[in-house]
Amino acid sequence: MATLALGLLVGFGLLGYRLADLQITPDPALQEGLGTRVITQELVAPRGEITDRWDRPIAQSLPSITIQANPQLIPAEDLVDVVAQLSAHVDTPADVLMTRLSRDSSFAYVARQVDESTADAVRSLDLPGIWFDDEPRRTHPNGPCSGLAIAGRTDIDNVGISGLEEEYNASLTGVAGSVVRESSADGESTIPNGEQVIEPAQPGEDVHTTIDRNVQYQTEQILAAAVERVEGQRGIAIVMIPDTGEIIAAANVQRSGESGAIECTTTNLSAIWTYEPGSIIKPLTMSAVLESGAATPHELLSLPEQISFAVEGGTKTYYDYFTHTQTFYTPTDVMVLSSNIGTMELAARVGPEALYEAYTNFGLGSRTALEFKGEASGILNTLDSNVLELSATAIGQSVAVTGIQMLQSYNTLANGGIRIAPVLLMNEVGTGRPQRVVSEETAAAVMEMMAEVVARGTGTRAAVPGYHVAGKTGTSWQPCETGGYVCNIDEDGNGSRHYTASFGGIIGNDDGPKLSIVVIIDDPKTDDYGGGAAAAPVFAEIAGYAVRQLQIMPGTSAPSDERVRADPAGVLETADGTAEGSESTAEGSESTAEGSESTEPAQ
Amino acid sequence: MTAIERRPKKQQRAASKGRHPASSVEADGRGPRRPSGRRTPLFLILLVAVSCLVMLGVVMVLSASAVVSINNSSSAWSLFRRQLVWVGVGSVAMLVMMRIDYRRLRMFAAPATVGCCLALIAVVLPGVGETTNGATRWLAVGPLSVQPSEFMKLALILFIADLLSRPGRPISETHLTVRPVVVVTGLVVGLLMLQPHLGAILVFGMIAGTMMFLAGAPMRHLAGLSGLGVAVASLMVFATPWRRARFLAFRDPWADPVFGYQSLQSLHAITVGGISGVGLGASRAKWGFLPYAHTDFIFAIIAEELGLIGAATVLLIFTVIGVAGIVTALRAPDRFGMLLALGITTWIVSQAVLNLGAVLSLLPVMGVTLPFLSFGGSSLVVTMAGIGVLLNVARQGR
Repeated sequence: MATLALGLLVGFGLLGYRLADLQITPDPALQEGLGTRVITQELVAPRGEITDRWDRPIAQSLPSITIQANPQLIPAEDLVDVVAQLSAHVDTPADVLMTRLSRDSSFAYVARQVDESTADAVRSLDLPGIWFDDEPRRTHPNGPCSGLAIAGRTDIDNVGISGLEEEYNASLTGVAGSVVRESSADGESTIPNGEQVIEPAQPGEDVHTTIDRNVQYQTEQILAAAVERVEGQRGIAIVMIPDTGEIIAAANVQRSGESGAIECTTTNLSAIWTYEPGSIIKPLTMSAVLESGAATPHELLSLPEQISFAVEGGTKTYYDYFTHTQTFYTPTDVMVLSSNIGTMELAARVGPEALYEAYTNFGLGSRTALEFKGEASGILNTLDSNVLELSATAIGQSVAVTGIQMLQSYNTLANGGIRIAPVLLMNEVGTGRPQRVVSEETAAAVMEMMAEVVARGTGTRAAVPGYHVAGKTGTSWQPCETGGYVCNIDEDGNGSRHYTASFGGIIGNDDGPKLSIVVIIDDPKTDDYGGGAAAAPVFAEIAGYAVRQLQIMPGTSAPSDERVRADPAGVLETADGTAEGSESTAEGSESTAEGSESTEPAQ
Repeated sequence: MTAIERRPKKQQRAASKGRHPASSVEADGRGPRRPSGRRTPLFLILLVAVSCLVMLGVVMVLSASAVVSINNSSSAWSLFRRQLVWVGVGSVAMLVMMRIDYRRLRMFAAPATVGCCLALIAVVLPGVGETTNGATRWLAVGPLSVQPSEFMKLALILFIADLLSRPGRPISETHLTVRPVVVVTGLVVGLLMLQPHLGAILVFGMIAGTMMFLAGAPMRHLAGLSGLGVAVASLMVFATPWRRARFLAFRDPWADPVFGYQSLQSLHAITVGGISGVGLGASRAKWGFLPYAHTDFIFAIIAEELGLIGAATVLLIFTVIGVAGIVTALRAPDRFGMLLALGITTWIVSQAVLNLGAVLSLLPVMGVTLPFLSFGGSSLVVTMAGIGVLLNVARQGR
């Protein structure tokens, strides 16, 4: 008995010693790491919105659910059934699902960023190996592409891949938070009294653009319809506020490779597409002329019938699109009628250095302050090489610009000769350094000439009743890939020409210019291919909508609808048989140069 | 009826009158309703100690089983409720056995042993027993799962105590004493090997060995039997490599993360508990980390939640029960009572030591429950019934 009692005491003594040893002097190896499972769950930081100038979202992230699977948890015999059930609810095709779920992997997406009702439907199936995660979906209230050339896009993982989404990705993304919690061994339950740390997610910051969402949308609609109407390929329309440089809308449309229709595109054509501007450059040329004192707006100039330049293998001759003999025009008439001869004459008076400097100051040949990714600088050659170069540049050929450069130049004239950098973000408004390009008087004089263009010249269809509109048309030739301006020349020497129709203009009321707008249409095919017929009406439509939307009051002294438009059509219609309306024929400045093309050696 | 009544005439008569033997009537004169015996301090100590353990067990089973319950049945209370029922049944069993004169149990010794042996045979018959984790230990009785080996323990104690306390059978006549004990124990061990259930085999071996030892069986017999037992156990353990690995994992749980997992988790839980514990209900180990947290490893949860203070108290109570059991045996009115008390004490203490040793990684894990604390109906009810018998011996003590 005593032995037994002793044995018992020794036994329990040993157990007690072991217990005390474990609990009083803990072994670090046994203390940490075992018997705990810490799960860190990421809290998604809501991506910031990209808003328009009135804080209306252009791009915003909405809650959505991503359905995922662990293929290894799906019994092989149930796979077909699981796929069938899933594909009944999600968009992912059954064969794709089958491939993903048959893979030897422990992770597969079933469907990403679906809405709550879809997720609930799949949840109720209670399938093995399927789980659900919150993953916000980037949505665009204005439609799948409206304004996205500027705002940019994100990939499926909500990482910005273009435009502002890419540029401001860091601040838009925010900082993800986390919940650290202790869970049961199987990871399915949270231990109620377990350690929990919550690091709240810091939402991404919004990007406030200067865009007006409605004007943007409407501009795209108007532009797309117009490009479709003239059977063009691409189109740009940009709207800007003159004194601040704020961009109100930047529409980019192009013919879709899939549907063949003109659709809005997320490619920022306004910054990356360069083209030879044509006559739309003439206000800039004229600014240099007036600024240098080479001419005054109303002095009489004697213009020859044609101008010829000696080139290799012959001469190159420029005409006006309307036939005239030796005649007299004022510089205003030159603008109104878009005379190439007159413009060249005046440009010759200014000289290459001053002209080049003027173009440069207007911003041609260099990227704008917007610094879009992939933004082109255009091509502006120094004009000292030969007089042909100078003359061609003066009428907008052998120079390449982007839409945004052209708008910036026109805006400078609207802004009293002070160039202001275009801005796209509300918090950058007023931060640019204004730069005087031409004197206020020169700007006013050129604006006056441009008003005449709309009043009685090539741009009459740009008029907006009740508002002051000044502008200039452009119908430029597009250089062919093979060189020259006539493409696909057949045996008879006939070929096709490709045009770019454009209109740059300013709409304002009695308080002064309110909006600068350029409209550019690539390769219009109908008879309405000219800037006056293809682009000017688009300007009028966009400007008319924008002034209403932005609540810009009509001016009392502005021309009303009843005002009889000056009609230079009598002259113009006889000038070009192909032209249908006065405005489109008014754009024939380059087409009259056709003869010069034939003087060139065949290329 | 193999048991031969060897009680004094007086008691025999008193017992035949009804439920309450006369011995207590004389003791405190409170009338004939007094159950057999009297409230000796020993009786009170045992009763209080066991009650404490049972009550702690109820609380700890709730804490440790809630996670398993909610995972399996969507109610955190499901296992706890069952345990409550078993505590109720066990308490009734204890109170009944406490009041029945232990001498009257002699007549049940043989039938109980035969019945339990049949049940053990039934368990290992293909298609009859229920198999869990590679061991066939349960017998379905209606909606209940019964573990016959638990009942066998009490039956075997009764059988041995009866056999070795019969007058006219001196222990030296081993063919009448030692041999039958060895045969019956060997049969039980054989049946348990088929389950297999090493822990129970050890408990049976300790019970039989201790009882024979104290009954005065010749040492050479005991030594021979011990050697045989060790050989059998070794054969069981070392015959299959994985069983050996699992068996030996306790020595260095880190060396074998698979078989040592349970030991590591257990040691971790105990270590985390520290001196004052993480708090009642706050165990992490029970969240699926420590397997069998509410059954075989409930002591780890106690040590985690209640710390050294709680766990050492449990050890102390078991020690008290052990010492009180030995004292009860010493003071037992007759040889049968002495052997009975000793057998029951050995049973409870050995089981506690095997369980705690495994939890503390001093012994291999052998699937032994901790008496009064672990979840499990058969074990609890039979153990409490056994304690009832012990209490009855205690209250009749000298």
